[in-house]
Amino acid sequence: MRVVVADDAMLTREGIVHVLDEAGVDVVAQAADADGLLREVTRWTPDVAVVDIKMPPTHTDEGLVAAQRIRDERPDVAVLVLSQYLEPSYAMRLLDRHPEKVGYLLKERVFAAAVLVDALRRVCDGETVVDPTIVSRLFRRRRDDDPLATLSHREHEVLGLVAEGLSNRAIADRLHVAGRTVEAHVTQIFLKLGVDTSPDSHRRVLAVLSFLRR
Amino acid sequence: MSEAIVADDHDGAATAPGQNDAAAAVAAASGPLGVGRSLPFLLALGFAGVSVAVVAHVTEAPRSYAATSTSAAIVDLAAGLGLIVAGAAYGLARQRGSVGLLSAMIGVAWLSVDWIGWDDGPAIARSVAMIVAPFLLPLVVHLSVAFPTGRVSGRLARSLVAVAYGATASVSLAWALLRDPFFDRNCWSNCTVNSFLVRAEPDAVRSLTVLWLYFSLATGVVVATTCVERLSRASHAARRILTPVVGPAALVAATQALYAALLVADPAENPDRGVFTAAFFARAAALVALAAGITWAVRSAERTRRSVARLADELGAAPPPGSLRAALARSLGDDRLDVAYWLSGPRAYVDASGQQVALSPGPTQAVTPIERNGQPVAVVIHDRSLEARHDLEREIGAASRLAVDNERLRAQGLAQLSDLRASRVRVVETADDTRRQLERNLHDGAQQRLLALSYELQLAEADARAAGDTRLAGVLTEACERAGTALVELRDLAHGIFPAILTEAGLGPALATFVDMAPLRVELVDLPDERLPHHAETAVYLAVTAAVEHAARRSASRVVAAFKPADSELAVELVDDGTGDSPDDLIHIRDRVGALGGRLDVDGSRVQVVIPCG
Repeated sequence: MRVVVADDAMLTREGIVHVLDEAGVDVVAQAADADGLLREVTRWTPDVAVVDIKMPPTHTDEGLVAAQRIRDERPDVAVLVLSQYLEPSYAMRLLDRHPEKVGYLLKERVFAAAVLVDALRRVCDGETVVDPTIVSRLFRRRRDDDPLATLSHREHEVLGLVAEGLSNRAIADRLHVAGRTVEAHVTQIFLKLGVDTSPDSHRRVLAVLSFLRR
Repeated sequence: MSEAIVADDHDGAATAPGQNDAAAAVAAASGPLGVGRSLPFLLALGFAGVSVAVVAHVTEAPRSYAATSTSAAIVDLAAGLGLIVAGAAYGLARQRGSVGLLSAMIGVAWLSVDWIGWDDGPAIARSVAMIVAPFLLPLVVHLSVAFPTGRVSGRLARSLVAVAYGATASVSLAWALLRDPFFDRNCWSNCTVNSFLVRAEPDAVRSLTVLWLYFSLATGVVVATTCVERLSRASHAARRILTPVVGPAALVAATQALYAALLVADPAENPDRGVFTAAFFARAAALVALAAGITWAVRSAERTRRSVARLADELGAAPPPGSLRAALARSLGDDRLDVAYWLSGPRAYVDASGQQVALSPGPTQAVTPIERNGQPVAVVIHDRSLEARHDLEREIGAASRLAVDNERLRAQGLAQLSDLRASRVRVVETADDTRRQLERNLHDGAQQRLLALSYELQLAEADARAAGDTRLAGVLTEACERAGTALVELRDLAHGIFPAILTEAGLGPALATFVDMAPLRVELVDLPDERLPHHAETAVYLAVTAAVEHAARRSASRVVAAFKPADSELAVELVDDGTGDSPDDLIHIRDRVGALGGRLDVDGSRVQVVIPCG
């Protein structure tokens, strides 16, 4: 797996590179800003770009914009956006145009090599990655006649993993159940919640997140 | 007419209009300079009184037009007396310049003709009257160009006046020295006496008389034309003031020209002949109109003074800002009039609403300062033509001292209020900027360092584990967890200080995140998508979050926040289902919203916020 890492904070960038090196991931280039990132992506065509959301010059959402541009122009390159902000809006904005091959992860997670490498593999495989902290916050949101209350414990678990972007197969592996069982759960959940999208599409993550925020 | 003369009211109160007799008028004018100023008018009035007797003294053959009929006598006296009295009123009614005196002197010159024909009067009186009478013409010339300022400005006007006086004086003097009425073929009003005669030169006098008639004719035409031209060029406000005097002056000049033309055609003047009688009535009527015009000017100046003074009285009713300007503009008939107040603090002029203004009078405007104890208080920007007729500085300064002070104080208050408002806005903006900066510093500084620390702890832990030091690895694992907790807390703290997403993505995403974490169900209705000015967004965000927390303290389980965007403001109405009581703890938010010119009202379970977004 070939990776480009973009972060303007040198400490963090080198930390990420070190973690990936240790994990045997091939970091082909590093960049300190969005322009550099786009240049390196064009030059190396990596499998995935790891992008800090805040980069020069304005330190607002350059990373997000660059991520969307990469997904627009290079469908073969996955993007994992790193952020210190626990902001579902950013994650949803990222997923809005290209729900596959993108991820939004809180920055503190990336030094846990297993989490980072797993997220990279998932986006490379065409999945979506949404930080579990974001999902659990959305689950805690107060609702009128909370529809989530109609879900069983297992359905709750499955919905959480769907929101984090896991595929049915990955959910099945995680929960040690059969793929068909997961499929049945997902269909049932979508039916109960009235989520209007195909239970199997890439768009289901965004649909679930939107539902949770409704 | 003497109503026009009002005693100087030093306490700013309106003067009772009781002082209606001439004595009061004269007394009012007799300040240190009063006696000197009123003396010529007293003399003219005395002269007018004697003139009445002269006209009333009927002789066998009429020696003046006034003697031909009662109506002629009435018109004659009306013109002369009218001009003298109007001139006195004008001159004494605190009006600067020579206009009053000129008017009175025209009256005297007009009545002199009756003295010339005073058959059995003193020879010296009749002789003097013969010298005085021709000066009617230059006096009319002078008045027509001097009104209303009393000054003659412009080279052309000055030379016209000088030539008129010069020519008249020369002719009058020559007549006095050379004319023996006895040899005058055409004499009719005085064929006997000339006390000043040195040597009789009948031929020279005859030629001089013809010359004089042509001069009168030409001058009359020039003056009439000049007056009409002046009126047509004047601004609206100026024309209102000029017409009552300059119009009749043109008529007087025209009738004088007509009279001269008649005499050129037929030197044998005969008051019994219709054409001459008609000319007399026309001349007299024109002079009556002039007297009336001057009286009107006095009255109108007085009306202004009164309406300004009345404004001072009406101040108890707290007129809205700008009333003084409106009252002055109305009274003076000058729509473009403006009043600016001087504030010594910021050293600037402000209008009645406290807004700073630059003094920029137009080309036809003048600026009259109003001073108090040598200190500037205000300025009136007005049409130039008002400058002379109204002694603005004194009128406004004295009669409406209270009005000026009141408006100025109010303007000062409003100016300070606007400063205060601006300073409140700056305080809020500075606070916002500081919070935003603090959040950014935390994000880029402490949070990054803590991230790096947590990374290094993880590396150390991995090393310890690889080295088989499980005790150290355990300690480091715990340290990692604590660093993680610190990161979470720091992130929440930074978000609480200022949600970066508010700046970066706007109100919608920021409030959505707030709703994710809110302790109760919050529904956002019609939240606008478009971005608002930073400080408005911050104010709306903080107001909504504070109102939701307020609802939570009232044990509410649900809040509906309905947004109503309008052109230049955003209104939010928050209604909750809480039942508990909560003190009004939104005061700091109300201050912040108020600083931006918005408002926040709490009414039980309803909180209403309006924030200007312009």
